[in-house]
Amino acid sequence: MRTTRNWIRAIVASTALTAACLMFSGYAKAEAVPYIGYTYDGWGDRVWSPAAYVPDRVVDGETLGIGGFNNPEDLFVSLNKHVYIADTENNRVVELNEKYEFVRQIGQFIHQGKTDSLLKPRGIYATPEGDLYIADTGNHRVVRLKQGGNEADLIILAPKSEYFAGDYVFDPKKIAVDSAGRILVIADRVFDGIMEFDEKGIFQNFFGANRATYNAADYFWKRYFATKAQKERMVQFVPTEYTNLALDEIDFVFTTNAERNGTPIKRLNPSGTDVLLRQGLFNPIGDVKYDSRSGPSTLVDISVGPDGTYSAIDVIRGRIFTYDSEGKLLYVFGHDGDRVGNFKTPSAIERMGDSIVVLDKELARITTFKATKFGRLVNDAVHNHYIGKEKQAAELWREVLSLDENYELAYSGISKADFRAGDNEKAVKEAKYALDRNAYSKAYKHLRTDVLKRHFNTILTTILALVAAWIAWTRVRTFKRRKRGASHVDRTL
Amino acid sequence: MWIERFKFPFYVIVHPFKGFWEMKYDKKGHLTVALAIVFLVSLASMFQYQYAGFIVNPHSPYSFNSMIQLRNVILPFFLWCVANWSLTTLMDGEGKFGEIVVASAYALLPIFLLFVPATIYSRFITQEETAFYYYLNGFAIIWFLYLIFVSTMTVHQYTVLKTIVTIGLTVVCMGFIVFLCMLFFSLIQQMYSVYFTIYRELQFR
Repeated sequence: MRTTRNWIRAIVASTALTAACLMFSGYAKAEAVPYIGYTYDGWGDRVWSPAAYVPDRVVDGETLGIGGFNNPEDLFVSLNKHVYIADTENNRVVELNEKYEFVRQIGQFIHQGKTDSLLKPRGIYATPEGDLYIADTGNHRVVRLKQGGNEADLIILAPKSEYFAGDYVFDPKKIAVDSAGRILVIADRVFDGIMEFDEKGIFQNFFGANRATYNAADYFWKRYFATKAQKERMVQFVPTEYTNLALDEIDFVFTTNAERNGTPIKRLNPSGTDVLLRQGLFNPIGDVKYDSRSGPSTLVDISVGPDGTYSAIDVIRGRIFTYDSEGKLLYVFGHDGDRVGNFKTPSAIERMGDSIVVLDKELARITTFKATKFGRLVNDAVHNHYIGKEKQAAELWREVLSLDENYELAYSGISKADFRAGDNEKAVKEAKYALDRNAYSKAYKHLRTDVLKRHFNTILTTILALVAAWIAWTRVRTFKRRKRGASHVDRTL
Repeated sequence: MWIERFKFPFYVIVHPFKGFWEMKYDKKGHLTVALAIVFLVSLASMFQYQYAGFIVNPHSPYSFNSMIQLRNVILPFFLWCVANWSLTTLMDGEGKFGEIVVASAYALLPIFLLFVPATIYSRFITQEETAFYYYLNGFAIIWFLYLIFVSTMTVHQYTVLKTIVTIGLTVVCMGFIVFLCMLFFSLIQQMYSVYFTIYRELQFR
């Protein structure tokens, strides 16, 4: 009787304990992340990894109490962490503060004493001083609002220049302003590069034109064989348009374009030359492997993070690719769909402190992502590597490996630290794990010299002994032959 | 006897004109030796694929398949022999099929001789020294091509120009044979599926 009661007690207690454990361990309440993170290994195969960022919160027009967004095309986070949204189809610009609380909306502004309004704005930029630049696409102009007010002090209309045909319609879609006041505009149907205006709004020049891409067969057919009528109906070889731009801290321009099999990400210096480092095993192009039906990644926006990193977003599969300053892929996360943390047609990506903010035009909402433990470790390791603290970076890379053994970049980082510490043998091994042939070669060169030096005596002795043995053997052979009297035999046979 | 047979290919690769002549008219070539060389060359190519040093080896160990490696050497070899024989019989070549096989196999020997040491060497090099590895491999290929050229010329008793034309046509012919084989297989497959479908139809009646 008593034992039975004890048994019941034990069972009840253990069940309760298990339930409590499950509840408080976070196992039961862990939110499912609607995607799996991954990276690419040196063979170009996708390798699953922990998600570097997980969705944090969702902000849409309804929860802000200003009515739903309608096809918002652009998002910008200013230096004082205010969020600006170009709410295109609602003909307004919405400003939020760093807690994503509504501050104001701009649909109308005053220009030269008269009230004017926005029509389908598709691009937005805020300078550190608080000037707001709006690509007022529907009105074919760029508007500058002074210091957070709603008075326009500059309006840029279609530039007058011999570069443009008489029937040219100015449709600005993305905009950025550097610290010198240069206004950079990407406009529809402009194939000569990014348009550059001075601070007074006067057109200066184009810069960083994309190249036209075509294959040789098409070119020869069009150039030498096609008739005039055929040529007129053929597609023109025109350079791809830029899809977006972002400035880094030294005013170099990161751009994305929809170029296929080319260089979808570029970093342009002030003279318009692409200076992006591409030292990874694969160039920064988004997905390395993809099915031919949906094609390569189409990057629509790019955002510059700390330590020379940058993140670009792919509209086809809703993925965010983050690279380090050397162009090596750090992590990929995100997926298309409509759950929280998924995208349908992402249109803009920005950084807000440590988090990543993405605007989706079709779902009309902003999703913020915060770094997981894995993401933070990778970011910290990248930071330490960037400022040259290889030893601290190696410690962090080891922690990364405890979460993800397949993270090749970590092996590469550890290899570099080992090499600097003089442990060539370990450095060689780690470099091989990372498939990092440069690091391997450097470390191996030293390792080989070390081994040769250490065993110099043995090697030399062995060689001398072999030479001596060979001489002795030939002597003995000739001696024996001579004894047999075979020396006169003609050996040329 | 066997020692001489195995030594002969080494003589041929350094004295090709004299060597192939002796092979043809003094019957010094031997089929077993020839096949052994082809087999060794395919082994050497496998060896290089898998064991070449990390710096010069772009192949993923996941994708290693010795059958594919065998196919890359043995299939083209016999394709070459068949194509060459079919062409030269029409173009007044004096070579018999056996002679073509033996001569072509002997011409492959430098590949085996140089690939193996190059592969071993490649395991002890840094990136600056890879040039020598590629040089060794390239040299093996050039040597092989030269031997193939001389063997075709000697075996069939052709002039230089005719040899070059024949080699070019042989390569084209190899392409034709592959094409016909593919066609044949795909037709057989189609026929098989037709008869199999009829059989299935009857079975389910």
